[in-house]
Amino acid sequence: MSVGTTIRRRRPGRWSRSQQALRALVAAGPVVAILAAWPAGDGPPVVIVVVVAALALAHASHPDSGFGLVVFVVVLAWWLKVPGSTLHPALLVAAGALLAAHLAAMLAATAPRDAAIDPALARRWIARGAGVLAVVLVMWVLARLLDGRTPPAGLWAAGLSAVLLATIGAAFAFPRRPALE
Amino acid sequence: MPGWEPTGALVRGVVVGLLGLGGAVVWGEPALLLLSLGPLLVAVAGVVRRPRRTPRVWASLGHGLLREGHGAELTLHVADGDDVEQVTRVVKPTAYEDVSPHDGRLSVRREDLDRLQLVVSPRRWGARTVGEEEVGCFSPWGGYRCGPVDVPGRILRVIPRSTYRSRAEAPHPKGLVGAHRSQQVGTGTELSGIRAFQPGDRLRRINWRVSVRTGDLHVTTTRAEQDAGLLLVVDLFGEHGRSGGVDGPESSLDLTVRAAASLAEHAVGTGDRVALRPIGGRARGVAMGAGQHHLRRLLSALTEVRTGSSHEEVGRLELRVGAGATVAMLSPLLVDAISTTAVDLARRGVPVVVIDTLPPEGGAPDPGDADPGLVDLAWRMRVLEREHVLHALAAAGCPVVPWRGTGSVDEVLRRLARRRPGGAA
Repeated sequence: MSVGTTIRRRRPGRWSRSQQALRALVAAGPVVAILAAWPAGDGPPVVIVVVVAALALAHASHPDSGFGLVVFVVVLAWWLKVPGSTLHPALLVAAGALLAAHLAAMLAATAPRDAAIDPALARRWIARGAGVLAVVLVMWVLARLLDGRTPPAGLWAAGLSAVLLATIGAAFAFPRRPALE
Repeated sequence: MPGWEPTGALVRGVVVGLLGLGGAVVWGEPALLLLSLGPLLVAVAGVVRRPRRTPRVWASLGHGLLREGHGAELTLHVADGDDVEQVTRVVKPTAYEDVSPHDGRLSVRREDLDRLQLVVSPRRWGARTVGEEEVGCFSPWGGYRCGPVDVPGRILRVIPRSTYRSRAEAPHPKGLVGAHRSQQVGTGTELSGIRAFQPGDRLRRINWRVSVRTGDLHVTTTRAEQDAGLLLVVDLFGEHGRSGGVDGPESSLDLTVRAAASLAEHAVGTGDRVALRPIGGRARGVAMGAGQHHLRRLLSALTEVRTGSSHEEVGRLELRVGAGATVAMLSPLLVDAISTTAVDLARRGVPVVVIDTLPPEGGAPDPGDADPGLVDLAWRMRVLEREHVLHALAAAGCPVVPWRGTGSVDEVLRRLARRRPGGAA
């Protein structure tokens, strides 16, 4: 194909819109996750929020770095001290925010900051994220049902095994495509 | 390509997931499991779908020859790509090269590689390496990454754009057949005159109306149609002004090359012969010839021209101009040898047109580390000298026209065509 003079000039170094959106999600996810502890009963002090925000920004700037691991661990550690957090719906918000930040960082790390992420690719990951979040929702409902009761022996092990099996099944749900050549 | 390696996201998912799982068991707090379950599940899926075969990638370009401003598809091929779910392409920025979409920097699903073809568009003439890119491949669920790997570019010949369309005749055509009116009477279609019948005249040439009126047989005579020769002399002594590509400002070399290409295409289009004679730089000349194959040779030679600073040729600038050929000298007229040669040719009665290719905005040199005031002063003095040269050329009867694209030299060619061969007006 030979095309005319419709091609735009290069604008090097500018952040693409998709990368802006992804990195905003990476930066916002952990902050939302830790702030969700507030309605659950134990809101973090400002210092912790600032530390989490700084780490999340660093993660957004370098999505393939260890900043993400650190900020996720800080959020988990804070939720550990929230009393009775399992029951509160805010936990779902926190889990969803962390998952969104994780997936956004994964996708953002696959391309330079001025590269565009194809919408079809983004839709695929949104669908996957929704599927994973549905599993988290099921686990949350299960945890609420069992709250205050002594669970049957081996229930958690069976539940976790079932989830892992479902994950493996989901991993293969996307069919392998034949090679292009 | 290098082998597969885990992504940061996979490591993060495994560590966060195991910490959450362990914490949930140790402290009896299911919240930790729920918070870390998402990254853990994604990591498990990535590990389960871990790749086994290393892909191979290479690129191909749709064209080997292109006109500046046009585009060619840059196709990426992935072999052994069963384990590749996502491909990221990053075309390296190069001067005078545009890439679309997304400036050649995008990440797509592997099955969308065909749908989202990159189109490379060189913005300036020349022989260029285009489409050099980095490619990274990712396994399903983003668990593993392969690359980035450098994919070498392809050499593309970019011919100058053509903007010249003329209706002027060549001054003194002298070939066999062609589209120009000859000075000689012949078997063309253009009326030359009506004269008395002579033995040997064809009967179908008899003009019956005039014959009946005068009582004697008369015939209609026509002019022969002949081709002409065009010798393009391109000045490569230097480049003045800044080049911004096909849609930006033009340097003197841009104007020279584009004007030469336009004149050559026009000449070949009208059936004329054309030759190329570069002076002062690195380029190969092309002998007189006609036809599309010859035009491709000439345009290809133009894509290779390089300026030089040596004035060695100045003293021995000799142009062998055949009979019936018109000489078009394309120059910013900053080297005396060009104007001297033009005057010599004009005095010998050779139809010569000097095409001024100094950019309209001036083409002042970049001072670099030198004193800008001094450079500006020197440049203004050089421009003044150039004005004297222009006046001298005009006084010697050698027309100078600035190159402005369509029809730039038409009026001059018409005036030259009205002169008789030999130089007399």
